[in-house]
Parts: sequence; structure tokens; C-alpha cells
Amino acid sequence: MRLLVLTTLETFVVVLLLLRPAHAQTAQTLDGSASGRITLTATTQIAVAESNTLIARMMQAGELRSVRVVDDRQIRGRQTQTLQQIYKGIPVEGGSVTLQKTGSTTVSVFGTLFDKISIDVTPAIATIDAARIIEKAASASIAFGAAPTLVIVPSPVGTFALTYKATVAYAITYYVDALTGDVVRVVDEKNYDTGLGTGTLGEPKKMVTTLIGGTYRTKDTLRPAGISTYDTGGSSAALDRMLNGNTATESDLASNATNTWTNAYVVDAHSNTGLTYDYFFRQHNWSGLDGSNRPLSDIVHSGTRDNAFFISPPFGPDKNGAMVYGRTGGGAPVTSMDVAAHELMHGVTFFSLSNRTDSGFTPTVYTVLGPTSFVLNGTTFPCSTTGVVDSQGIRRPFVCSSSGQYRLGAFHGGAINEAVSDIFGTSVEFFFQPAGSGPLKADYLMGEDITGFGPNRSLVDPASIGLPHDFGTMEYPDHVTKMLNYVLVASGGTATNPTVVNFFPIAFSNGNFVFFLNSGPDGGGVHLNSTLFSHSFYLAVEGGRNATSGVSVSGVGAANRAQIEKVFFRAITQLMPNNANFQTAAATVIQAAIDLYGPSGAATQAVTQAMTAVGLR
Amino acid sequence: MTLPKSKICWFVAMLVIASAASTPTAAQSYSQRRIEISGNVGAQTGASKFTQSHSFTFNSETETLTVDHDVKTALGFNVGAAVRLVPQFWAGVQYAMTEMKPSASITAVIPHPLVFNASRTVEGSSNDVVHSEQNVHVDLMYALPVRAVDVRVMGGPTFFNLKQDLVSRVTVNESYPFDTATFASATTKRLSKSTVGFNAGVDISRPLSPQVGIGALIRYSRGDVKFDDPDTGPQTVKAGGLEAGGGLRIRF
Repeated sequence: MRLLVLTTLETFVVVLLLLRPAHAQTAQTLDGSASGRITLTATTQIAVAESNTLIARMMQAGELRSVRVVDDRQIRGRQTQTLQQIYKGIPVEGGSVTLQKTGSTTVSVFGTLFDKISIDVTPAIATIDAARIIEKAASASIAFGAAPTLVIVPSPVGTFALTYKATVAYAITYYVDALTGDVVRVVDEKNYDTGLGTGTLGEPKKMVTTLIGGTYRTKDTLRPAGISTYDTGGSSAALDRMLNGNTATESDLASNATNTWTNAYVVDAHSNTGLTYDYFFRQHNWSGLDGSNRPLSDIVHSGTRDNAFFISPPFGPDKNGAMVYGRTGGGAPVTSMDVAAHELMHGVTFFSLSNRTDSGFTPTVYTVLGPTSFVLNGTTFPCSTTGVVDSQGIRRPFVCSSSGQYRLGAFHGGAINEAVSDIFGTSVEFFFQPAGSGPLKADYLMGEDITGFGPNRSLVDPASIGLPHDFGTMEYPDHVTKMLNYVLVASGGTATNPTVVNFFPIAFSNGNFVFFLNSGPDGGGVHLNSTLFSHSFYLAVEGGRNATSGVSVSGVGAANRAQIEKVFFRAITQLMPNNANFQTAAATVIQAAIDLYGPSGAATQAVTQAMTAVGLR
Repeated sequence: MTLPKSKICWFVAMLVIASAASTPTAAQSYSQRRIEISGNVGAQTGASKFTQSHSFTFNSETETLTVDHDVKTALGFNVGAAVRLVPQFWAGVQYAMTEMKPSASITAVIPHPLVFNASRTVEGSSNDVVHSEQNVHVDLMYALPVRAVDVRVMGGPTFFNLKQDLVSRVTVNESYPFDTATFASATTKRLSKSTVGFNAGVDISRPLSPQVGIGALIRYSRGDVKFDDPDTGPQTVKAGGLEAGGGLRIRF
């Protein structure tokens, strides 16, 4: 309903604009302040023709120069061309127009030009003297060894000044009157003064923001990838535009009048993404999502309940994917450090796999054979005769073996994906927080700092967290024998020869029947099965005994945690195939350890023992 | 503007030698005049070194600047007038000015832009820190009964006007991950303030004619100027110092 209202309103606005063509089609506006300023806003054929006449005349007179032609990234075949106004060979500051073109046809023209310029362009002071004046005034050298350049600076009242311009360290630009040598203007473009934020738990956090138009906005330009945290304000239309329309503007960035931030939701998402970026760079020499500083985007106030997620390209602002954060039912932001790191790691996984294999984890279903029947509420359901009726009223059989056993399946790749995200979620905590239990302490739990939410998974003891289902509670698996394998529905083909399969929310874990009718099949157990793999990380670091297998592991110790982190990071970013099952994933981890620390290295021994302990070798 | 100390000593010594060579008749007439106009050129050394400490919030933590301002000797000028009140006592007023650019050693502890408690320490210097004074000395002078030369000891209040550059910020060269930084430049702010202090000195002059003489002046003056600018922090700077010079005396 809300979407409908918004759509209707948008239509209404469009209609209003169409009803006011004179306003929308004005080609040239000479403002009334005698400034000689011509504002071009041409979007119709007539207006564009008027603008083109002016532009052609100025081009012919050498008063406009093409400075850039850029291909339109959203509409094929279109280009934007920017023209800079020139007066007697000197650029006029603020005088430029941008033309949107299709071939030789101009679609629109926007910009500002100045007329009635009449000044002597012979400077009275030399460039080198202007440089000295600027450097003396600034107590700093002109940045990057550049020399001052002449520009014509319009005033608001229609006069023009011949001016030298140069930028010194810290992005401060000085303008020196080219006739008198006076410093006439200083523009401080510096917007780097890290702000202070207060996180959800009241902790102080550094907020790297940008001052845009007098308002601080969550745009981090200090991390080389750049981090933008957008705030939908709870608007589903805005979320849709950002994720599916690939469009987010500076006005969508979270904002604050001062650089002291109290919106914990924004603070946590923005700062924790930054810290996660730092972790990957410092610990793994990995820059951003793809290792090559692809821009990072957070989206908060997504309306998502009890969850956060990473959406991969081509979705998200500029088609770079995004980390999207929701709230708990109690209103707590799901933006803790481990969760933010978990989501960013999904991006790392996606891009590292995609760059090597052309895709993220493929939805390969690995199957095992289950029982020939199960009993529910006193009724026996043999595989050979049981099925479900889908939403179209068509009966679909469960997938069976030729001997009548249920063929059960799980999405191993998805679970590996979730596991490595948990592994690096906790790793980022250990990198920045002191080890311990309680708020803001590093541990092997996920989401424990979110009130009313976590911990929702444990790498130490997966079984310590119960998983309620419709007929009881099961434990997160710590061993491959306890992983959940789901009943499969043959959505195409036959029960014994299916062409399309889907997971059904009935599963078996170590012979136990589990029924998830109210919570679904978890994509084939991607979260529920993740712990058997992530538990191996804990064992390899800290050591200990697997509760199911009884196998003990000599971990490398907390002081050497970084070794195991590097091993798992190498496995996922360098070696993991996109169709891995748990056993393959375990093998890549062991190989990564051998690569980094040799066959007899302590880390290699630790991960080998850990994979044995969880039943993956 | 800056003179080495050896040249100052040479200059004063030449004045004394020149003074000793003048005639007794001229001295008698010269010494009895009631009004004197004088002008001196010489050198002044800064009152004393001082350390500027300034802290402010940057990157959501406290940045501290410690600047050791050195002293330097520089050229100084003064002009003045005096009137004989009684045979042994004169009253005079003198305007003096000097400008020096001593060096400043700068240490800055700059907070990390991304994480807490990881400040970077940078060190650098600036050789362009201006210290300039325009002072008015008001003196009561006592003429000592010395033959051949006029020797007057003097003392009184000094009205100082001090212009002083203090360091307000430093710029650094840095890049991600910002764990280190190097000094790039210092931004200074020129502050100006007046205060009252004192001066004491000796003026020795020798007539060349009944109305014109040459003289030497040695004076020590001192005043404390308290700046309290938010960009540079509270800071007391000493004005004055040791001044030595010589020049003309014209008496009426």
C-alpha cells in the first residue's frame, strides 16, 4: 500500500511538470542581478536549439572549449560533453555547460555562462611572484609542484577579476589578484577532520565524513575505496531505487549538521565498515570488496527485520553491491562490528570467486540418502508416495532414490559462504576489541552485542545455541554428521529423475527429523550448517575437543590467530572453487596452510586436525 | 635585518673610540644643552626563548603542538628626545623598533584519523616566525660626572607593542593507513598586543661640535605579553631584550 501511494505521488508530480512546460523548457535565463550570468536549462527541442545557437556562436568565437566527453554508463549510445567558457584564452571560473548527446543530436543542455566580460587579461605580476605570495600566505607549498594558473573570476554583481589560482596542502585554494598581488579569496576545501560518533552501546567511534554544502555526510574518502553510508529513512521506494535502480545521490547519504553523530544506527554501520576495510588491508593486504578498492556502500534503515545482508552486483548503488542493515523487533540496529564484518566478507567472497571463476558460489545441491519414510503426527510418509501441492495446484513429488529412500540435499557453498563470513566477523572483533565476554569484547559469538538478537551462532560450541523448530529444538551442528539435509521437491521431472529441485523445510540431522514449516529451508541450510565449518576455525586457533567426534585439536593459540585467519582468507580468496562442498572447502583450507606455512607448520597441523575433528577429512 | 653579535660589539667599540677623540671645548658647550634629539641604529636580541604549547581537538582526539621558539639578534632602530630637568637629571622618551625571525622547532602529536589512541608524532621547524616590537621607552636619566664624555644612566617604564607569530596548526604528508606522517609545513597566526614593562640602560655620548655628538646606547628592557588566542592557545611571550647601538645626538 505504501508503495502504491508513493508511486501515485510520483505520477502526480510528473503530471504537474508536464502541465508547466514553460518552466521546464526555458532555455536561457539571464538573472536579474546584472551579473551577466546566463543559466542554461534546455530539455526540449526548441530550448535545445536556442542553446545550441548560443553555444555554436561561442564555439566559433573561441569562447567555449570542449574539455571532456564521457560515455553514458546507463543509456547506451549517449554521451555527455562538457564545454568550458574561455575569455581571451583564460578559463572563466564557473562558466561551463554540459550537453547530453545522442550522436550529433543534443538531448539536453545544462550550465551557466557569463556574457559582457570585458577585462584586460595581462597580469601585472608574474606567475612566480603569485606563487610566492600564495606560499607565503599559506605557509605551505603549492600542492604537487603545480604553478598558479590564471582564471577569470566573476563576481555576483557582474564584474570580473583576472586572478591567479593555486591549491596548497590540505586542499586550500588561494586566489591572488593578478593586478595587485592581493590575496582576494581563500577557499578551504578541506573536509578531513574525523568526526565523533556514539555507537549503539554508547562507545565512541571515529566517523570519517565529508562536509558537503555545509552538512556533514557519511562519505568516507580516507579509505581508498571510499565508503558511502546511505539512509533510506525507512522508505522502501528509496531502498528500491538504491538496490535495483543503482541510483544513490549525495542527498541519500546520512547527514548531520555537526560532525558529532548520535544516530547509533548510522554510526555503527559507517564506522564498522571502515574498520573492517582496515582489517582486510592490514591483515590480508586486501583492499575493499574486490581487493582493488571497488567502492563500498552501506544502506541503513532498510526496513529489514532481524537481519542484514550483502547484495551483490549488479544491484546496489553504481552496481557495486551493498551492505544492507535492518533492525531487531525491539528497534536495535543489526550493525554490530561482527555483523558488519560478516556482510562485507560476503562481498569479498563474491568478488574473489567472481574474479577467479566468473561467479559467486553456484547453487549446487549436494545430496545424501535418507530414510524411506518419516512419521509426522502418527502418520507415515513414504518417499515413494509423498509429495506437495505447489502454489499452482500442481502436485510435486519428493525426490527419491530408486530404492525409495528420500534423497536429501543441502547447499554447501552457501553454508561455506556464511561460515567464512562468521569467521571474519569474529576476526575483525579480535583485531579491534579486547578478548573477553560481554559488550564490546571480542569472542567467537555472532551478534552477541545486539540487544534482543544474539548471539545467534557460536564458533566455540555451535550446539550451545538451540535452534527451535516446529517440533522441538535442535542444535547447530559442530560435525558433518549433524548437518541438516533437506527433503527435496522435484519441481520438474520425476521423483527419481528430477530436472529441477527445491528444498522443502523438512530435514534430517544425524537421523533426527526436523520440521521448519514456519521458518523455511534456509536456502538449503546455509546458516544452519555453517557452524560445522566455522567451528573448525575456532578449533584451529584455540584448540580443544570436538564434542561429537571426540577428536582433540592442538590450536596455534590466540597469539597466532592471525596465521589461521590468513589460511582461511587464502582458501576463500585464492583457492576455493565456486561449486565447493564442505570436503572441498576443507581441502582448500589445508592447502592454503601448506602454501603459507609448509606441510609441517603449526598452522597446517592445526587446520588439518580441525578438519578431521569436524569430520571433513 | 639580522646582525651577528661580533658586529654589534665592533660597532659599539668604534663609537667609544670616536667619542674619546673629540675636543674638551665642544664637550663643555655640548654638555650644557637642555634638549637632545637622538637616533640610534644597533642590534637587539630577543628577551628569551619560550615554549609554546597548544592543544585542540582534531580527528576527535586531542592534538598537541609544542613549539620551541628560539631567540635571534636583529637590527633595531630608535629615535628619541630628552630634556634636562636639572643639571644632573634628564627626562626622555624614545621610540624603538625591531623585527626578527627566529627559528621555531615544532613537535606535533596528531591523532590518527581512523582509530583512537594511535597518534603520530611529527617534528619540523619554521624559520619564518616573526617577532617584531615597537616600543616606547620613558626614562629618567642621571648624568654621571665624567669628563670628556656624557654618561647617563637611565631607567623607566616601557610601553611594548609586540607582534608575534605563533604556530596554530601543522600540515603533514600522510596517506592510508595513516600510521605515519611527516611534517609538511606550519601555519602561523600573527598576534599583536601591548603591555607595560621596564627598561634600564646607559647612554654615552661625545660631542663632535657644540650641538652635535655621537653616542652609544646599551639598554635592557623587558615586558611580558600574554596572548590568549583560541587558534594558538594561551601564551606568554617576553618582549624587549638587550639592545646596543649607536648614532647621532643633536642638542639645543
